[in-house]
Amino acid sequence: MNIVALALMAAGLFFMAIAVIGLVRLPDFFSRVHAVSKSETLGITLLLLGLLVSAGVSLTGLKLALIVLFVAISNPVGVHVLTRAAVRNGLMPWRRDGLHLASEAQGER
Amino acid sequence: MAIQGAALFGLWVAFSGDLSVEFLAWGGIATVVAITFSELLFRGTHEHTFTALPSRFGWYVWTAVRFLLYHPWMAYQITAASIHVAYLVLHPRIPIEPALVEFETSLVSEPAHVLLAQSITLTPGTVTVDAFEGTLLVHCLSRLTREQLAQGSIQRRVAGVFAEPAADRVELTDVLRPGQVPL
Repeated sequence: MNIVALALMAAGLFFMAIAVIGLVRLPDFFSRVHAVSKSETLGITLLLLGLLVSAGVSLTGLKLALIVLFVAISNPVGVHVLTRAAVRNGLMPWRRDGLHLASEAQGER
Repeated sequence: MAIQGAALFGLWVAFSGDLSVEFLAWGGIATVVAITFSELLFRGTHEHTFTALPSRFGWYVWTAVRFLLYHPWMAYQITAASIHVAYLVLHPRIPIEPALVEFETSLVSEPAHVLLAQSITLTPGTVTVDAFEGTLLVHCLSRLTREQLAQGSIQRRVAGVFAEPAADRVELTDVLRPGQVPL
């Protein structure tokens, strides 16, 4: 029981570490949003599942399950808002083939 | 609004498990604050109703069942894609190939569009930036995630949930200029 909880929490911490590393290493706003939001969704879910296993079936467990649900709903919504605001303000993602630079040169600003 | 307030307050009482006056008072204050903010944020937005949906009771039951069965598949997708993103981030050369693409979805109803957009966002490596009238704007992190999006497996699953037509493949168009997107 305890080992399962620890394994889940360790996996969760691994994906949260990935989120932080991605935030530093990736090149532009959009790819960083990927790293932070996604790896963290799974990271937080695994972490809370680990706590859920150690808490067992109880009121605390129910609260933890509810937090997982809220994160699963609010996380993509937050990502929509962030990226949509960026695109509406004229920010285009970095591309390996450099096509985004051509559009920047002919566009305003 | 009264229903939301009652539901929130009921949730508070259920989770605090404490019926003393102090706890109930704090619960009431929290409920009023939450309702006020959600009214300010969403005023007028929920007047738009889902007119395209059938009104038969059985349809909702079966859709709910299929929606629950959709979750295990989604959980598997999220896990597999998270490992792919972890590989991309940890690779010495960071082999990402980001691209902003748009495509026309074959799904009809609005709840199906919402589920598709949210599922694409929850799957690591793809983010739905915007959605308008069945056109979705998606940012892909790598060539593999872009190819998976083009195969349209998420769209087929969502179409299965809502019993709607699904295209075999999704035609992706690159978006390169800000003005290219009809917002």
